[in-house]
Amino acid sequence: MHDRGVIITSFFPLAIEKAEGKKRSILTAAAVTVLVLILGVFKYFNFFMSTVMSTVGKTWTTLDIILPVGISFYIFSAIGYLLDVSWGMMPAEKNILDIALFLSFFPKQVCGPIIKGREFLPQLKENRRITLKNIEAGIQIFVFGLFKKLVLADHLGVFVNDVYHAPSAFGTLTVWWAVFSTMLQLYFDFSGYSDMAIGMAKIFGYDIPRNFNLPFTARNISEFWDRWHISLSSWLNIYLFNPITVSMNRKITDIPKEKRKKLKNLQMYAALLITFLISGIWHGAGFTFIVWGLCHGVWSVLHSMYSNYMKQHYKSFVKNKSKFLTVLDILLTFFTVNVIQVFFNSDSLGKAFNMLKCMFTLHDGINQPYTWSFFAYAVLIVSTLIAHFHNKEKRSIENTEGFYPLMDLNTVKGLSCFFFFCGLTICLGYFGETQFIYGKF
Amino acid sequence: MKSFCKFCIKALISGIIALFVLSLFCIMYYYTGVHVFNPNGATDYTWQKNQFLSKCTEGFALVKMDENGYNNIVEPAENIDILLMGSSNFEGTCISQDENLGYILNTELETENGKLYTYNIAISGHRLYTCIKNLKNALEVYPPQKYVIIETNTVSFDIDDMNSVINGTYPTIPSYDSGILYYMQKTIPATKNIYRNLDDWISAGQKNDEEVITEEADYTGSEYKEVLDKFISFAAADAEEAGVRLIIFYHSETDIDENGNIIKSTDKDALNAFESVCENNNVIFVDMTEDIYELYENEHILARGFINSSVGKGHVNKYGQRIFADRLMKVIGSLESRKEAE
Amino acid sequence: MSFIDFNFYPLTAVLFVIIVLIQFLLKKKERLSNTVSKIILLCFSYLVMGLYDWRFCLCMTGG
Repeated sequence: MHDRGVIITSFFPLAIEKAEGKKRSILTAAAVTVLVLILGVFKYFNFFMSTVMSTVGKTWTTLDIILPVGISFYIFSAIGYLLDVSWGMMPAEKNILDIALFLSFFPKQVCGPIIKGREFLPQLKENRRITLKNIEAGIQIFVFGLFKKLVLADHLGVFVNDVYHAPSAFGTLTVWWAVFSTMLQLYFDFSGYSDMAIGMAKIFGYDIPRNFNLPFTARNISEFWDRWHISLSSWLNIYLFNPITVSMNRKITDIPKEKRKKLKNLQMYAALLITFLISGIWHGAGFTFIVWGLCHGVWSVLHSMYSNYMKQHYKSFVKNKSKFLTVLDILLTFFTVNVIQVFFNSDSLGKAFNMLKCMFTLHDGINQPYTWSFFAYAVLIVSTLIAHFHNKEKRSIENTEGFYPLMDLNTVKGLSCFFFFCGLTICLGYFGETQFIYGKF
Repeated sequence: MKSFCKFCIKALISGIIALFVLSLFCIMYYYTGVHVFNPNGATDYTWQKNQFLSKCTEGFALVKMDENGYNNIVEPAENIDILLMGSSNFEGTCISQDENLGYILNTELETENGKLYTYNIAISGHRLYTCIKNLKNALEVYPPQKYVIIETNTVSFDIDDMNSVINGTYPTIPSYDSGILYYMQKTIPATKNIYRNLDDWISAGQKNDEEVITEEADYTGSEYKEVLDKFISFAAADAEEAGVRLIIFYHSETDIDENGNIIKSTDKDALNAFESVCENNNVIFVDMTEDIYELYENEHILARGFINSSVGKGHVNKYGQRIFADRLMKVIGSLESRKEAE
Repeated sequence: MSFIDFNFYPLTAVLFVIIVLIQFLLKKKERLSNTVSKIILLCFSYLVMGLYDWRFCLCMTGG
């Protein structure tokens, strides 16, 4: 298993690069299939067999198959690299050490980001060194991530887990408050890990792309996925959505222009649904993830239809949308993302529907105005506003970019702030038994 | 080399500034002061006299200890009628001082003979073992006229621990009222919080590595009942010698299941054994399980947990303290009435 | 072992010191320094993964 593994990502691209035409396609397909099979066996085999068996009325005894940590992330990295070589986007890497390090690089092991070969492998060729400048930036980014995880995400997790464990025990408002805290918990957990990965990589001289960019400022679902889990959404866009639409488009070149335009739209919608379905499946072996993915897919399709219609018939309205309506768009996007997230966070579809039932029916129960959620929202809003006003040239929602407010650690002021922030992280941190949420994917 | 030395000096100054600002923050957020060894033995330790404590990790409380280092705000009366002993749940440092059990009893407990004065020497970490170990000294130092109430959150005990209390070898909770640890806690309030959290962080990793298998005692066995009887009679004898009634006050931990029903987690055998031993030794046993259950069923409130912690877990909140007080007032009221009738 | 495990930090500190030393000692031999640093990083990555479960290393190499 060990030797076969490195061979797939090391030697297959070399063979693919040398091959041409149909042979190249076959080799690419074979390599991708093997990688997908590896992922499938470890992650989905039990789920698949239990589903099939229950459909035919039989039982399935779950096999004790280990789920290697970070497998979803490095398998996707490997597939991306293979396809880049196959499409001629980059040359095949001959150095097996670089391939091994590209796949196993420890900062991004557990929860990504899904780094692309074309971004990371060239860095391994350069003489990347540990420098004071990199340490300065890296350690601060790392501590930001640690704060998000230990202070915000883990405290939010206490409340979210309480409510998801027994939603019927809590009052309707509390259930909603937990739902709005869930997305926040996931954001701080995952973006916290990503920041720690970026910071740690930076310390050692390597650059990992950012994975989040103020996703809660998104005005629609499409923008949301441009800002949320960027490494996954860009991977899906490059290696799944685009190839599907391109291959579909090739099949309709002979059709008249008018019909072709309509068909193109339909093909795009189909590609969106497939992409989000795969995204849901990637997240986990369970129907809740499939439903979650499909909900995002359906919403993306609906948004696409709406967008096209509005651009066609109300072009000036779309172009000159008022700030009030923009804020409304942001709130609506935020609301819908949070409601769909119930499926993602539930252990089963039954529990998810139970949770939805508790949300949409008025009932009495425990009231828990969890204060850490208020604090987390305050941090989110303040940091978003800072990012918004940080861009002095053009302050608009679409130009609001996240950034790391790095201090100069060569000054007393900078060092004091940094030490205080480290101390605050430890003082406020939650040190119960928690793990990274995306670590189980 | 010169720039390195310069950087080190900057780092040192920055560290001091950061620690200072952090300490200011911790004074309001989490400052529990110092354990001071208690020479009179009523408790293993006390807080410092007139110590200001803050606790916002669980609930939000700013508390000032009295001149003896315990959590009381009512002016001490000449005679104590009721002495409260127990752990942090009875101590009530996670809630306002005017919402804790001792305060409610002092302001609301009235009998036909007038008000009864309650003095609370409950303090964090003092489980039933420690309270029974210290009972004799507590009754000498703070002699109540009528009742001594000891709180416990379990009725399942360990035979070895009970034997060590009877034999006088039960360990004392350590104090850090001298040396470098004392001065660090006193002068740098952030120290304790940072130390506590780092310790939890390190332990969290070790907990995942070690599998702790605890063997439960056989609560129906004769050995357990025999030792339990000795253990409770040890306490009952001290109370009788002091001429007071001993009340053991039990409140279980709460949890709710997936359907939102409260889980009564008390081991039935352990509870039966404890109840019968208390009865045999003329100790009044107050079981709060049904009261906690009713509070949840009628008002959807759990007796433990706060708005910044897990629901139903951790320390007793103000609602829990309230039902504790209500129940104790009923119990003491009926005991007093019976005395009057006699 | 991940970023929220306390034991991660002493190990990473040792890694950091080793790589700084390597890069300092091999200042003039850039390619060698780069290769050795990458080998150490790779070993550390496998160590971190192995501390979860030694079989994860096999699966990683499998991909």
